[in-house]
Amino acid sequence: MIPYFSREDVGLILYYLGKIIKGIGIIMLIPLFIGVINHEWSPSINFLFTSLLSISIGCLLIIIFQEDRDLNWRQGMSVVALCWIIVMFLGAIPLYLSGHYINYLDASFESMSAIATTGLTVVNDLDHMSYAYNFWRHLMCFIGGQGIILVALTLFVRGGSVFKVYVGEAREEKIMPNIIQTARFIWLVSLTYLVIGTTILFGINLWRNMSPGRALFHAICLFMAGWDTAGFAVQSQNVLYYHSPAIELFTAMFFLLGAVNFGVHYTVWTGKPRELLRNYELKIYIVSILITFFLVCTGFIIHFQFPDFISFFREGFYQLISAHTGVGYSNMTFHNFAYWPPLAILGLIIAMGLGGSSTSTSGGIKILRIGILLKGIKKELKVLTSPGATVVVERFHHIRDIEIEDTHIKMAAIIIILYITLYITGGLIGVFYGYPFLPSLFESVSASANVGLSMGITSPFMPAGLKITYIIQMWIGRLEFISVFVLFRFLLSLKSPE
Amino acid sequence: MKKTGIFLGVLTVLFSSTAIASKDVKQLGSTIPLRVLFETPSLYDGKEVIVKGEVVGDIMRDGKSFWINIEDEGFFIGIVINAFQKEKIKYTGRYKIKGDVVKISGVYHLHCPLHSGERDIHAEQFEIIESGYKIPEVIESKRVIGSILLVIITIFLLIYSNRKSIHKYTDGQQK
Repeated sequence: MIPYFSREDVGLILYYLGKIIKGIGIIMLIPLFIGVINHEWSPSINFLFTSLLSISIGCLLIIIFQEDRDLNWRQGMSVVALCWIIVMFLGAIPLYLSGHYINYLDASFESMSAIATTGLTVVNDLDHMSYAYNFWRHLMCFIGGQGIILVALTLFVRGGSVFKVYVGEAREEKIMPNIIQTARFIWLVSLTYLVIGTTILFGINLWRNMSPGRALFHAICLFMAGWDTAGFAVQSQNVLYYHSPAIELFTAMFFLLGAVNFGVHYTVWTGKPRELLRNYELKIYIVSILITFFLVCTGFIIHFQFPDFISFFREGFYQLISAHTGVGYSNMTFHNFAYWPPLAILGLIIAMGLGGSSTSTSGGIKILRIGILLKGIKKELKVLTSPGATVVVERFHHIRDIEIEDTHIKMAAIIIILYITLYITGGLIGVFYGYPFLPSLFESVSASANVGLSMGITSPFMPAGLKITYIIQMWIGRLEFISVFVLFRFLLSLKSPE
Repeated sequence: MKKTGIFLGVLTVLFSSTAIASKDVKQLGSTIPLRVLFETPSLYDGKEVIVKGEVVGDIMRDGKSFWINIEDEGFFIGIVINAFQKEKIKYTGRYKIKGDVVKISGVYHLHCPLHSGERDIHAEQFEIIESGYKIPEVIESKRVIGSILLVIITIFLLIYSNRKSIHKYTDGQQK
């Protein structure tokens, strides 16, 4: 048997992992700086320790496995899958040292939830957490949402390896001809919105009597976790903490923008606003939001408990778009689900499972795949009902006109089936641990689609086995299977005899 | 006649301000844990409740009133308070600060009609039952020593890895 991977591959993979680990160590200097300016000496020391540890490990790997070869596709995929696990463990160190987590597993859960932009949390006493730790939680969301590889490799690595790992992070589209240009454009869009979003939220917070420092801190964190559809918040009550329809309105605007394909952003930014009307993925997205909101509304028709429609809309629609974009921000506590009818909860589960646009910061199946599958079904029906010699062609507009091919349909169907399998498996594991099916499925879909809404199962007190299950689901869900499968094959091939 | 009018006016102002103040000073009865309000909301919806909890985070303005959030055994709720009650709060919970523990009586709403359906309590009586305080920061000397050692190791490794890269580059150039 010819091994899928050779021993030489291991050295090359470890060399690139070393570069990424070193990069993460350098990024950890940002929360260290936040700690120092806020006179938070204990967190600052913990960040200094973790940052230096990461840089040292990174340097050691670079020295031992010095390489000048580029990564091939399989090696790149393995680097991605492994790097997310390693960043989870490294990112968890300062969180664990903070004392806000029962054990290292909980800190790792939080770390993976952040980098996978999920937003499920097992933190204790978040309201007394230091600025440095809290900023790190949100910064990890931003790094994970942009793509760890995109962040680390565009800053620290040059060369042909970048595209292989970029693809591994579930970013299959090159928006611009060159991958470095694409990465820079994604940064440009994100940083522009970061400035706009932070300014607006900062203004609202100031107007509401917050001190300037806290107003700015809350604004930056809210934007980072919203834009990258992560859903972490500075305080335990999430967005509910602010009791502000204005905050809810603007966060919703930013996470809706974050869930739009970066390719569409690029097309609109380069002076083609008509793309917004023509884009097939956007059309399907709007239809999907309307259908799932219809389910939520229908569920509430019989059990309408709100004083007026605005109250219902504020709670129901915010939860729905938070679920559909994968952000996981919530303007209610999970206890409110006690009066949510099952049909409305089902609407949220479907919305979470479908997710946002491809090449965006949201997770889940992704709307474009659903669109491709629908076009595929339409094409097959046309073939079945047409005379034998007829050639059936289906097209859709997504940045450019694309003709549907069998490979598109096959890939979309495979990924959809894999996601549904992941959702159900996690749900069944929840049932195995004694939770009812609907909340178990809700939590499983929320973890796998990197959403972060919770019906109350996720807490520091849930079984360790379930925490590990959700960590794996968040990881696989964020990377969209392929790089994880390549990694497993790599690990198996190392054990198989040559 | 004019003097009597002024005297009566002053008396009225004094009496009403004392009444407002005494309403907040009056001792409140036993409290309901926030957990109970969340687990059986229908029992208390629209009724007057007495709760207690630590004030956490910020005091946020909302028109003429203010929002605070209180925490009781891991459960949180938003409380609407007035400017007079706001002035009583000295500490709000955050890093290195334990917030004031307040006892509040007011009407509990599962879906407040005045606040677009939020779950809240509109405070009527308000008292501080435990004053907040600053918490000293504990710095572990082991971590400081570990960090100093790591500084030395990291500097060495950074220099070594850079030298190795430069050597490799120049070797490549010579070949």
